[in-house]
Amino acid sequence: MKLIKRKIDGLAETEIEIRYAQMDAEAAELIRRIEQTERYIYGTDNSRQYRIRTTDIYYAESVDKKTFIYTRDAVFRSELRLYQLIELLKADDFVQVSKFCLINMNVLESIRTLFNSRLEVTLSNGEKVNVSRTYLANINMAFASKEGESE
Amino acid sequence: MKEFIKKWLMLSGLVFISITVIPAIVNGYWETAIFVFQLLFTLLVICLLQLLTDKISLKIPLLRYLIDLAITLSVVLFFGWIWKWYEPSNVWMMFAMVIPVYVVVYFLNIFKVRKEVKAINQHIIRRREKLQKEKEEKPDDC
Repeated sequence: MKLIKRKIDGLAETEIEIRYAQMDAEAAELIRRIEQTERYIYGTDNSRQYRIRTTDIYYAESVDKKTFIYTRDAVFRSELRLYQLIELLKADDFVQVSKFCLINMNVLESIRTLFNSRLEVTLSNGEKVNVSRTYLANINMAFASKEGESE
Repeated sequence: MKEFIKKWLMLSGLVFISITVIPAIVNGYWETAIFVFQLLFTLLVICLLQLLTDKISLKIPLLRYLIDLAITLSVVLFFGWIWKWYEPSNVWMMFAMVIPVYVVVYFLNIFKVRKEVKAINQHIIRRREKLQKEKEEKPDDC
């Protein structure tokens, strides 16, 4: 298999073209892996439906049994329940930080304890989200397992 | 260190059970052994109830500690009353025994939370550095 990588200035989004003589196991696996990295979830905003790349999601939370998806600067409503999102995003870099909230590990800036024993994470867009202390071990384990995967 | 303390306390617990149960079986003196089992059962109930309260998300975490303390005191007072651990005139002794233990557990919990927060922050820094490195290593023309 020959790998050709090319930087093209001004390209709106990354493009991948796979050329193959026949769809063998190697090509199929390659396509499957690429499809896995580029996954989307649908969300609505003002009755319009949007396709949201999972890597663009900062966090998702459930408020009054409604699920909201937050990107860097937008909020979408999802028809999925939080537990369904957890299931969908478990292969991605997401971690549950409370009963009602799921966060993209790649946008975490820091976590801190507040004076009244509360915990709070700061995201890379400056937004702050509450964390439940019962999920601390879960967060720690998620990071440790991701580190283990990459080593 | 943590594992050492855990092992030491677990071993001590087993030895306490053993030194009360074995003489009870041999000499037929069950009073102390029954008291130890009553204590074990009470602690089991407290731990099970705390498992349940851990599932509840509260907006004020301090409230959780107060609820936990209230549950612990209630369980100890309830079983203490059933098994006659105290006289109504010296019920304050139950508070005097439970509250210091609870305060120690509270501070151990705070210490544990801080340690976990520190570990997570280190993970976050390492992950950010890794992502930054990957970004920088993204290929130019190949």
